[in-house]
This record gives sequence, C-alpha cells and structure tokens, in this order.
Amino acid sequence: MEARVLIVEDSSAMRLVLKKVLKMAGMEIGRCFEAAHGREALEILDKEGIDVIFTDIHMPVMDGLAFLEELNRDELLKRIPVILVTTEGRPEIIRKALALGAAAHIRKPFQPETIRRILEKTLGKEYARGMDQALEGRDF
Amino acid sequence: MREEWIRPLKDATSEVLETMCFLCPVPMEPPDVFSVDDGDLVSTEVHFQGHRGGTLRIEFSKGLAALIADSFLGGNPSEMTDEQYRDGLLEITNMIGGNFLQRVDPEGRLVLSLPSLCLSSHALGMGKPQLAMDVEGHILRVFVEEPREEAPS
Repeated sequence: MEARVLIVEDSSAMRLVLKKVLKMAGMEIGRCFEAAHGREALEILDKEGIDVIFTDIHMPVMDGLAFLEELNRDELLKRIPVILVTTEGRPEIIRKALALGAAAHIRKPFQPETIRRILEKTLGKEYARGMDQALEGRDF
Repeated sequence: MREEWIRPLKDATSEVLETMCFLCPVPMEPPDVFSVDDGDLVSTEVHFQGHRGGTLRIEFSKGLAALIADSFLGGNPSEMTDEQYRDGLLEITNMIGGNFLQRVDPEGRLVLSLPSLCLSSHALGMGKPQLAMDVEGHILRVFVEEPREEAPS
C-alpha cells in the first residue's frame, strides 16, 4: 500500500536522507511532502491527505512540540500517526511529545532497520514491506 | 576537556559517520602540526548549555567535507545544491553533538544550540584537538571547549 508521507524537518539534507532511508526501509511512498517547520506542515495538511508524518522537534517558526499541540486540536489531524525523528534525547521532552500524541521516537543517527521496525509497529506491515529487495537495489 | 569525555566523543563521531555516511573513521594520535593539504578548511560548531556550557567544533578539509556530505546525502555530487551541502555538514555536526551529549549527560541536563558553519583558509587555532580521526586519508579534527561552571545567580 502506498503511503502519502509528510516530512517536517528544517534541514533540507535530512529531508532528502530521510526520504531515501524510508525507501530503503521498504516503505512504499506514493507521494512525499516536505515542510521546514510545523507551520508549513499545517498548511500542507490543510490541503492534502497524509497517512504518516515524520517530524523533527527542534525547528524554527513552529517546533515539533507546538506542531503536535496543533494536531491535537483537530479531530481529524490527531489521528495521523506522527513519528519523531530527532537528535533530542532529553527524557522529559520525549515523554511530552509522546503524551501529545507522537506514536514513536527515532533517534538520529538511525539505521534503516530501525525505521522499518518502527514503521511496522506504527503503521502495520502493509506499509513497510520489501526491505530485502530495497536494500539489494539501494542507491543510497 | 575532561579525560572521560574523550571516549564518548570518539564513539559518537564514529557512530554517526558509520551509520549515516557509511564511512569508517580510524582514531589517530592528534597531529601536533596540522597542515591542510587539500584546500581550505571547513569548520562547524555547536554549543551546549545547561548546568555547564561548552562548544563542540569539527574541522574538515574541503575534501573531507565534500566526502562526508556526499556520503551522507548519497546522491550525485554534481546534483547537490550548496544548501544541501551546507545542511548536510550541519546535520552531521548536530547528530555528533546530540549523540555525544546523550553519552556524557544521559539525564538530559545539557541542551544543544543550532549548529553553524564557517569557512576558513587556515586552522582556527584551538590548539591540539581532543580527537583526530583518519577518514579515508583525510584528517577529521574534533574539539570540545572545556566546559565552564556557570556562575550562581
């Protein structure tokens, strides 16, 4: 099943890398949207249907925690699984993000295997299949 | 820098370069004299603050910076934009800084700032680095400024 993905991350390099690693991890991406911060992500969510969101925490304009709070205020948006991808390791910040509705936390640096495990756990196997084939033919 | 921070610094740097860039850095004795034989220097730094303050700085030759950015982004170097190149180095620095802090401060009392980058034609001169690594023939130098106790308010 192809997923419509939203990556919220202020680093253009990390957005590019994450998109590649998601494909390496076997995720079948139908369309991938990118936002540099939470405010931009909300504008995209206003127009597009999204299956899963990957977000950093530390970003300018609107950070990941504020973004999660905004999602929580909307009955539809709060149902979208949100996966944190961040260097942030402070337990209280991660706890807060999970309490705000984040489904999982991936710490940078990450392995494709870690991403796949989280994807399977969060979205189910239909979104994360074919990892072996993806790794065999990887151009990363 | 505290002696006990050298190992976490080495482990953090190795983990990030191995995991995200597929590079295998080899620790080496920091050279007394650093000569840049393949171009100008690129330097990135990230500050941390909390109950202590400090700065982690990484110096690369331009050749090594390009190798790391190319390896991280995994694309055709000729298609890489300047922004992606810069962001790639900053993100690597951010990950090394975050990984290092997690190892030395698992309670999470220290907070990282956003990383920054500067270009220089010469070494910035903080003396001998706390860590030097051979990365495919290039020398990576990592400095951590001695953290200072914050004055009581």
